[in-house]
Amino acid sequence: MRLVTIRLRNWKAFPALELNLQGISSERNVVIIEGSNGFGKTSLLEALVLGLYGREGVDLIGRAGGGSRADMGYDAFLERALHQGVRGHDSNASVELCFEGGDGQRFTIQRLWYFTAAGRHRRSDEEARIWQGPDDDLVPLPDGDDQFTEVRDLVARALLPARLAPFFFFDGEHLDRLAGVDLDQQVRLGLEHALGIPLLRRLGDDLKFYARDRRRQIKGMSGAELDDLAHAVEDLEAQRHQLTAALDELAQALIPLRKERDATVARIGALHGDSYASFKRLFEEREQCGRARDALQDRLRQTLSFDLALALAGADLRRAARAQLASDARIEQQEATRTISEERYREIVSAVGESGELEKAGVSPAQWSALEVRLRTIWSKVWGEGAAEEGQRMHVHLGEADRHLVDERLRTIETLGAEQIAGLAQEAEQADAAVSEVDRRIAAQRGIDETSQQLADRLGDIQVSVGDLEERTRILTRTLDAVQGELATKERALGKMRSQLDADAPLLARADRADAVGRAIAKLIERLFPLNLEAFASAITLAYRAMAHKDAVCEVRIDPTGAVALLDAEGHDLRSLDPSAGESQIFAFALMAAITGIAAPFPIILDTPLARLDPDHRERVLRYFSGLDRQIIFLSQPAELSGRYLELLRPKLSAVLELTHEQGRSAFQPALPLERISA
Amino acid sequence: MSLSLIELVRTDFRTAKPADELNSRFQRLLGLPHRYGPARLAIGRSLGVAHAPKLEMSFTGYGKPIKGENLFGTGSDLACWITLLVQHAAPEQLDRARLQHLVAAHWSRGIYLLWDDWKASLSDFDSFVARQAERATIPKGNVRASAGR
Repeated sequence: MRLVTIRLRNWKAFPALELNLQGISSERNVVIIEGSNGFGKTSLLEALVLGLYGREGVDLIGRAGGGSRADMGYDAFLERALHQGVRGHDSNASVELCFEGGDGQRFTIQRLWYFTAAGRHRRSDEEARIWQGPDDDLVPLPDGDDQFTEVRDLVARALLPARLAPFFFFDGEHLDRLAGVDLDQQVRLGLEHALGIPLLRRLGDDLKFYARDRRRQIKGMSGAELDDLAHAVEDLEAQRHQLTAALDELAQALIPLRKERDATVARIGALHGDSYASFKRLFEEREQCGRARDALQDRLRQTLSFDLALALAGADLRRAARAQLASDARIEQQEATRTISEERYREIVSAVGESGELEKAGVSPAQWSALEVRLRTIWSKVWGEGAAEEGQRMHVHLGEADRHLVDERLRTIETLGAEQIAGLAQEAEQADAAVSEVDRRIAAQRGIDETSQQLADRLGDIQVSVGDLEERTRILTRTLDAVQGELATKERALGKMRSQLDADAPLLARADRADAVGRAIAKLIERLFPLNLEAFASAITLAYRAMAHKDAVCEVRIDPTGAVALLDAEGHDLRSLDPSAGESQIFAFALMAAITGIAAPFPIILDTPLARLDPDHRERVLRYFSGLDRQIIFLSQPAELSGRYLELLRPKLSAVLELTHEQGRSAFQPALPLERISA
Repeated sequence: MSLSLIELVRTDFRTAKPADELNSRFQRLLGLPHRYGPARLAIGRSLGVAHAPKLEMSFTGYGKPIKGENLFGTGSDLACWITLLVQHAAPEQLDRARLQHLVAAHWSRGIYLLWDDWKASLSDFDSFVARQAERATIPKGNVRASAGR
């Protein structure tokens, strides 16, 4: 791409400026823009940088400084850049740059900055426009901050990314930025930028952040809860296991006791001559009665959770609720009746009105109106609307069928609740009495003689032990029921959560993939730099040897840390000999040449590049840069590129443009370009 | 918005944490297999008191939730409980959130009333049941049975 036109409005000393850089030949690649100090050369360089990169460009301009925040620097810089002649009222400044490439490709960017009467930059009003393609099509851009992101991307793609700009814009007044003491760092940064490593680093960081964020999302949503729930389920399972084991143990303990009881009963029976069967029956009866009593107690507990709980609300509330349900039913009925009655009344009135009978009977509309009022009253009386139920339905959550069900349930509670519980209690009492009766009969069998007394005592002890074990069994069974109920609920919740986690699996997989790609990028960065070092060092060596007049340096070597060594024929590092400023500048040029050589074909712009060089170096630098296959724009003092230097450039020269400053007019009179074709 | 029985089936109900802990204690004392057992008794017990319950929640936080279908059952049981709660709150109109709050308040008040009853029954199951049956207008003589002995 070649820069062909620069248009400035209200920019620094230029109220309006159009520079055509095409000159006499588009084949030749060198343009010289001449101007004395203060005529606007550097203003032009700044316009190029700000025009291309806007806010991002401010870091590339040495003069912008003055504030720790880039934003402050940008605004302050622009406010200083506004042409003095337009201050004092609302105004704007603009920079427009037009580039042309092969195949008729064109790219034009225009930036506009608006200012208040006080000269303050109106940040939110800033605009950028881009025209692209052979027909200069206006590129549609989004509004707001997205606009500048899009512009940045377009400029990076079509021309040059901002990160590489320092190697294309050389400012002789700020030489130290490229050729200062931090040369090693510059080399490292330069190569990294040329290889796109900062972008890769940012991408790697973004991927890491993405993966972390996704994982945290999943953890926050269900990971910790899942752990808790899984632990709760484990605990409950352990409890169930313990309870089952304890119940087994009890069942095992009961077996010998029951056997012993049977044997004791048999011995007592034998002692008394009673048949074993009848005595055994007595004890079986005792057990049966006990079991019946226990079952009744369980039913009683069940009743507590259902009917008794509901019944506790009390008769008053139940009665009030049933009355209200009846009232709700009547209100609903009346509403329905009223709707039907109203519809019928309207039908009749409408039929009479349309029949023509009123006219025939000589009834006037006024008479009919009066008659209709009477008719309405009679209708209401006949259809019983007068005795309307007061108020609105209370239990609107119930439909007609539910209302009946609730009424029936409440009525059942009123009657059956009491009967059920009383019945249960009576049955339990009878069972208890039956147990006592059997105990009495067993006791009557005891004590006939000492042996039978001992046996009876032993039997009593066994019965107590069996009773204890059975009671413990019942308690444990109930606890087991509760644990199993809770376990089932928790297992359901856990299952639901696990399926949710399964649904999250793709998210986790994406996070893993992001991590994997991030690791691959880190490895790529690690290998990319050393991989290109040799080729890069060779390019710098070539450029350096072409521009430096001493042949002492045979090779420029760069180690993987970016440290630069200038090696002589024997392999000694000449940098340790403190190279002169001129040679530092030559190295900076060599670095620029190497980086621009592997970057986009964007023009190299050199602002007063020769000031600190001796004549031999000047010639070598001019020869080297003009020999490159890209546009070279020199911004120079009038004397800087004259005489033999101009002759040296002549075969490559496309245009020489002179910036002038008319002293006779105001201090900010435009510096008009005077095109002086160098034939 | 009025109440919907279908919606209430899946609604979570809970009470203040201390009341919920007492609920668990009652579950063990009465040998009831589910948490909703004492909770229902408590809500029923509180509905038997004419004035509206109050619930102070500032310092305690909530206990564990019970789904509507468990706390009140389904079908006519659920409809019955909601009808009694609405009737008790009348003339106030209830929406779901207000009902949840009201249930929490009844549950809390009821469980403390039951605790007083339990102490008054000298921690005796039969005596406690007899007392509750009596409160539910069931003749006292019919429940002097030996449940839990």
